[in-house]
Amino acid sequence: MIPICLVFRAHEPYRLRRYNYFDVGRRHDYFDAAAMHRRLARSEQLSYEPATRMLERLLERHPRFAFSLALSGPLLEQLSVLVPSRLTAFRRLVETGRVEALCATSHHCLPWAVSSSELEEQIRIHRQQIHRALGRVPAVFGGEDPSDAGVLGALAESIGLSGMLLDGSGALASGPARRRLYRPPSPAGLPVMVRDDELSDGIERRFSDRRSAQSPLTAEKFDGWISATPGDILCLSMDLETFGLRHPAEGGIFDFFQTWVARALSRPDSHFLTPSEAFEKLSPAESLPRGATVAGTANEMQQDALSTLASLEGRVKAEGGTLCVDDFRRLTGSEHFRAMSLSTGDAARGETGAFDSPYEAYMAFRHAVSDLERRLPRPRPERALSVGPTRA
Amino acid sequence: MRVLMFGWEFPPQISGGLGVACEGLVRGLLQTGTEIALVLPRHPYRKPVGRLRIVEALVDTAPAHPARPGRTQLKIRRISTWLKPYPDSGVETAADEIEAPAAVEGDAASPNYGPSLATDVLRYAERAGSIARRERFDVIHAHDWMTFLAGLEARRVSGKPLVVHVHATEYDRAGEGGNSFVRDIERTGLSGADRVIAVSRYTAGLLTSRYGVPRRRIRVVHNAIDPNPKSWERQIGAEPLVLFAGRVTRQKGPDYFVEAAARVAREVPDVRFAVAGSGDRLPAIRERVRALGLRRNILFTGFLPAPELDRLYARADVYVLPSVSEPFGLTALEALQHGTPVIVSRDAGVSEVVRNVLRVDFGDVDDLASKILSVLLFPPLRRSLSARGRREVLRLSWRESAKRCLAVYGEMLREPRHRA
Repeated sequence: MIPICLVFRAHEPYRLRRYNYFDVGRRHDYFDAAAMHRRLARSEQLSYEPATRMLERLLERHPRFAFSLALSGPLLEQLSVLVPSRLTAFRRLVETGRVEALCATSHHCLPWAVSSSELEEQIRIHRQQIHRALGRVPAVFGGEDPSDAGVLGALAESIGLSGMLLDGSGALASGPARRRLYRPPSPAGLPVMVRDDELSDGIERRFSDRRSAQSPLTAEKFDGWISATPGDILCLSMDLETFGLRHPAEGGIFDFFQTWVARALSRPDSHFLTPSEAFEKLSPAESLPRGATVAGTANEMQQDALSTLASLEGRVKAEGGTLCVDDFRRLTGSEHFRAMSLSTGDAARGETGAFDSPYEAYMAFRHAVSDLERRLPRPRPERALSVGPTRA
Repeated sequence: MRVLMFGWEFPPQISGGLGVACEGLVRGLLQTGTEIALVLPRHPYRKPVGRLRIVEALVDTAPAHPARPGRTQLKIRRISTWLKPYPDSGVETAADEIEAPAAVEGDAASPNYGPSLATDVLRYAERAGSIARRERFDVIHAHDWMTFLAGLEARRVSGKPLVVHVHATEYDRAGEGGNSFVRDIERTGLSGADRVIAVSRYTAGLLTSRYGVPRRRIRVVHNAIDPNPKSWERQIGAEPLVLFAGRVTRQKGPDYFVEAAARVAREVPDVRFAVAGSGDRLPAIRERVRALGLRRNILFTGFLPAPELDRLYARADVYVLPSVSEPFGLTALEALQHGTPVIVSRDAGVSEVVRNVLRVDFGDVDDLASKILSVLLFPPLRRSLSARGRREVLRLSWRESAKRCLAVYGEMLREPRHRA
């Protein structure tokens, strides 16, 4: 049977407030802390807590069960303050030796959109966060865009990365192409494993969808699909919130998952691998085809937002002090970029966050960046229409 | 399908969105092969156009028929002679509208809203009976309260089903105040009709909550816009221009526009604002503009005919529609058609059909000013709104709205009491 690499992602985004023109120079609280706390509390109650319990039980019951956790920097930061017990529970999972923590960035940035020194620094911070919370040093990067593999490859040696999990790749059709390892795109790049969208989404997106052809999804049905699936490695990657939040417990998601794991492991030829094990055991066949990247499809507002923020990096780090640097980093979060997406698909997935529209997201972001700029000690020469409000 | 349609204003005699919408819908229906007899109070062109015939109801002053007491007829004791569908359309605005082009002001532009509106409305309704006996039609379609009694009379005489089309209610025009005579006619029409068409979900909600019309009798048919052959190229000038176009009445939110303008001008001193339209709030608005020291920034153009308004859309950097209650807001579609970024009240009906606009809560002046400034300051925002907004309105057409009306006609005709 095809080896299975299970990944559970968890991330709590920094939510921008509806920060407007008149806030510039007046207040520096760009983020809606209350909304973020509410969101975390809800995730914790409905999902993180019961899902961790379920995973712990599965590890106890099945000695061959293994998976990995992709915990974002912002999540770790918020948990350490608000729900430290969750970190302890994650740590217990990792200490079994069968749960691998993945590497990411401290502020969930888009690796291709920040300078390489900023990227390296954010990875180092995240690594420290993981080490402090879970007692391990991660080596496999959880990425989202195919171009990440190249960008990160340059840092692979200095940081010690051994591979990358890719959550989406426009270059690959669904199906067999997604079930093998890929060689680095360049000599310096990282070997890549790609999420199998069809089977992952079967759980993550469609589990409760009664209109879907698969409905209702049973452990038996899912197991049948997997045994009929050819390939080298099956990467099933989903948000931890799939359990309990995206699909409510009453719908049977927890039961389904536990039954499926038990069923899969009842066969002697089944394997659950951690990403590091997969990279070690399997050899990549070909290199990742070039295809559409998120970077290549950024719209005008997204490009402007990224470049305006990036233009401040040097000054923020040289003269801004820790608070400015922290706000700068929070603004690199990919959620802000996604919220400015004009594609209907993203809007339908609720990527615009707290905002009505991508335009609102862009305005809040741009005004926040204007304010950040004004906080820096050396003002740039006056330019018509580019400065914040004057005060009467 | 043959439709007996009761309208009030129709190009070239229009004073607001009703006339534009009515024409658009008639055009869309004609495209679907529908035959229309359009009854108007009076109209300069009487020649039939294809399947459209215009019937003038009020051209001769002698009553054609003595009024017959019918079961839907209202008893009216007092009639206000200053009754107006829109608070601005009387002649009195012409006097203080110094900068307005005289030719389009007051009676010349809208002869149907004179001081005798109430009597006109009632006489129009009386004539409807004899017109309905003469005409051959399958359904009756009446636009806004001025024509509701006519629609009911035609229904009584012919037994054909009636749909009343709500472009605006007295609540939209006058808020909690408003004229009880108008509201009574609205209620009578809404409860006597077989179906009610609302121009937006917003209006449908209002009809349910304020007029008690059961939701199941309401159908939403959004307004639309057809390609404008005279659409101007964008011609952005040196100074940023922010445009308000519409009746200068409380419900259209000109007060918020002016307050926001003051905040914007403080940040961008060379900004210009244009208020295109007239109405009962105009003197107060001018006074406020003086008090705010904005006279050099704001231009009052008075009511503008379509070609001149088009030129202004093309020149404006952003169009603002800050209405308190906006059933639809056709001007937003017109602005978008010219590639002008639009800021509109969150609840406005138009925001149910377009996504590429900025929305504000109508009283939130800070947010409105911040959004105006954002559009002026961030070219990527302006360009995205412009390009995507324009593309979005290109997909709309009156033919689609007409098809929805046809579906409503069909629905009424399938009901047992109307089946032939």
